[in-house]
Amino acid sequence: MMRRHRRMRVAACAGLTLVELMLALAITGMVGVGISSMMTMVATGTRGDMDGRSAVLRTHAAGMRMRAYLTDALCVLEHDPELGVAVWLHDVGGDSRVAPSEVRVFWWDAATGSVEIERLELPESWSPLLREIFDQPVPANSDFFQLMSDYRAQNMTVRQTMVEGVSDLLFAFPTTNVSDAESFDLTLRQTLSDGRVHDSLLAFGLAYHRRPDR
Amino acid sequence: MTRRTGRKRRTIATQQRGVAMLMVIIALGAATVLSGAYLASRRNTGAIGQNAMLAIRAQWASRSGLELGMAILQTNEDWRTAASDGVLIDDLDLSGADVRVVVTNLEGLPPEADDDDVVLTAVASVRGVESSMQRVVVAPSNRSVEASLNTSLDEFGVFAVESLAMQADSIIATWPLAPRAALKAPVKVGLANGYNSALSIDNGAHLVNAIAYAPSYASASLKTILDSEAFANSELLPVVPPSLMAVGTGFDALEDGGSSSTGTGGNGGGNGNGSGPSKKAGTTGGSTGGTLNNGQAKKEARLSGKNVTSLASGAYSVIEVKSNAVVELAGDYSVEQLDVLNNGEVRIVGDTRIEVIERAEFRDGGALTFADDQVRAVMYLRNELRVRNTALGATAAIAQDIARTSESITAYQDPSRLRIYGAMPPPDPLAYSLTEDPPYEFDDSAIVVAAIHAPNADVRVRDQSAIIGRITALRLTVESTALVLTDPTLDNHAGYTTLVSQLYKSTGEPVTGLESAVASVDPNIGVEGLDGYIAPRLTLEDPLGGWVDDGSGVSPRRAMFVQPTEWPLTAMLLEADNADSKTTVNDGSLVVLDASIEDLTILRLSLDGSSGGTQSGSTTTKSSMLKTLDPTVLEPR
Repeated sequence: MMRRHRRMRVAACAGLTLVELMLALAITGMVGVGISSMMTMVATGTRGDMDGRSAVLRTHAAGMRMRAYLTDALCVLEHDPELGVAVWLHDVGGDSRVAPSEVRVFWWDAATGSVEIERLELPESWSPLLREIFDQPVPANSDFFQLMSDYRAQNMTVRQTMVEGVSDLLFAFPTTNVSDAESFDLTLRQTLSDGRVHDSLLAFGLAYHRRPDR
Repeated sequence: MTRRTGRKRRTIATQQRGVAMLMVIIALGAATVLSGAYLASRRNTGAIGQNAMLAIRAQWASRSGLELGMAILQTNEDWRTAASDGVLIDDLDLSGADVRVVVTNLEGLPPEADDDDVVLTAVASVRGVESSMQRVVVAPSNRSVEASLNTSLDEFGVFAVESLAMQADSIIATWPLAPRAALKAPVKVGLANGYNSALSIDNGAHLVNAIAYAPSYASASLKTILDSEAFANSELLPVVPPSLMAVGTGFDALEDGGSSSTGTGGNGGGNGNGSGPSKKAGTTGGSTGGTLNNGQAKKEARLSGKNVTSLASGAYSVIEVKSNAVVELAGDYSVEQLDVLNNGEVRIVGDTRIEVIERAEFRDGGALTFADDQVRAVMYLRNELRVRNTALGATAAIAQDIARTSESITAYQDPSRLRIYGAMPPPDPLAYSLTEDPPYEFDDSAIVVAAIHAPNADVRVRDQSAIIGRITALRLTVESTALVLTDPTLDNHAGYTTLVSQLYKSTGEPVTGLESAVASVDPNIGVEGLDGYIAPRLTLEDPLGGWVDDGSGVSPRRAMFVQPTEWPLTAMLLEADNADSKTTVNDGSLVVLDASIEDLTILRLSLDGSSGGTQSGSTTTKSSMLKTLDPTVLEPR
């Protein structure tokens, strides 16, 4: 009898009681829940922060890149809410007419949420004279989106990404005829991961604005 | 028993210390993760904002510097020579930005006295962030009224007194090798005829980037043609410039006593005052190849074989160079008939004037070449010019190459170093027939690099021949597969086509006396006497050219004389960069210009995640020289 009682005491001393175990598990669980909820909260906040910062960065990059073109651009030639804008970048020949090589098209692709710029780049194998002959002025009222698409079909364009991750692109012109606009606004709409919508307004001024003669 | 109990207590105590350690480790881990996340979210925010701010400041400072540079170019200061290595402004502090403004010519070198086109580049630096802006500026170097009168009509790439005809597949364009071709300078086509007979342009002809200048009285039908797609643009000239033939004085004296010695040519030629076409000499020689015949009043030079002969200046009845013979010329020559045939070569070794009274013929590799870029040659042609299957103004190798094309010439050379003047009176209208060969004919892949002014000559360019430079003709016909490639560098931006020249008032009207002076010009005074006749009859609106010092201490300016052309440098560099590395933009790089004129570079601040990629937001500065500014960078890519 004495010997069995001793064995029971020894067994009891070797581990936790059920109550102690439950208590320890409960405390550990509560601490774990606390830590994980805190981590989730911080992660959510950080993610939101990064989303916002990413949107700002994207806006900044888009602004810088588009400004590189539009600060010196002469005129907006065409605008289509579904396609983007075509601009007359410069008048190298000074003839006040639009040559294809002077046009840049900012394509808006709603499916991928990207803005790309496209320009004519004639084959290197062509002689300078042949390029000159090809690069003849086109009427100012041309369909420049179609024109650039036609050149692309002949592998004569270069296309580069301006910005990605945009959910909508909205141009606003102060004049009915976009060619008359000396400035315009561009709203970059970005949808953050938590569903919030972030609108960035970019204003562009065409300091050297002039319309092509014909 | 006691020892065993004590050991178990130590075991329990040890297990409890382990739990505490575990808790501490977990706590530390959580704190580390939280701190790391916080720091990661904050580590470049400031840098991004600062970069944006500094970039904008630098951009505005560079624009200010550019405007200041423009103001300097608009003053009467001799900035071309005063600026050391083209540096107009250095270390100028503009609102905390360090600004540098440099002016160069189109080759990127400091401008020289006669550079009309210059490139103005302003670079502003704010705490390491730099921005550059650039303008191409037309700043006429010579604004004198004499320069404006432009007697040889060099401002026009093509000037047709009566008519210009272009057949299908013919080309009139800017010479791609001309310095101003990079700026897509247009071809100026002048017409002195205001009726629709002035133009006959086939639908299949290529008149590339051409601006037509027609008389102000142009007929409605001619205006319709001018407004067609054939021309990039058209303008009406308030005053049509007189197109006079050259007289070519001083050759009569050669007939009387020109040097007959051989050897290195000197500055022979007299100072006679002949004022019209020379009379045809009556002496012809019968000498054989390689000999000079001095037996008569006029010498005869017939040279053949692989010999190099220096021909003394003087009057000759015939100069015939053929079969690989080379004759070196320097000085004045008058010759009734000049034949350069079968790989013969006339080499200009010093400034030379050649009067050809009857016929000048270059054929089958017979070339006119220049010993170096500094020497000049002027030909006064009183009758015919035939150029067939050869090249003038290019190398002998090109002349002898039967496969030559206009692209055989691979480096720019000033076409005005060979001037060909038509020194013939107007043709008799009754004697003219369309079936006759015109006085000037360029045929069978003939290439001529020259400035041709022949207002009384019918000129025909045919069969893959090319005139490179400029041309004035009475009637110019460019036949199928033939070319006229003009060099806009010859235009001094101060003539009849430039409304800010001395020839026009600020209202755009011709200055008083110009119209009456042009109308009363006696054709016999020739090109040489034109400016001397017209200039004194003009009442200039601003005789001093606007450079009147009002005593205020501010340099007087005249903005209208210096005109900037916008140049999207940033876009061009962005595209030039991405032409080499098309992934640059796609990876989210923000390209910021970083230019130090001599060593233009692009400083790329890579902002990962800016285009929707990763979200790390790290800032990495990668400075690498991607492009050195040179004319090719200036070309649209």
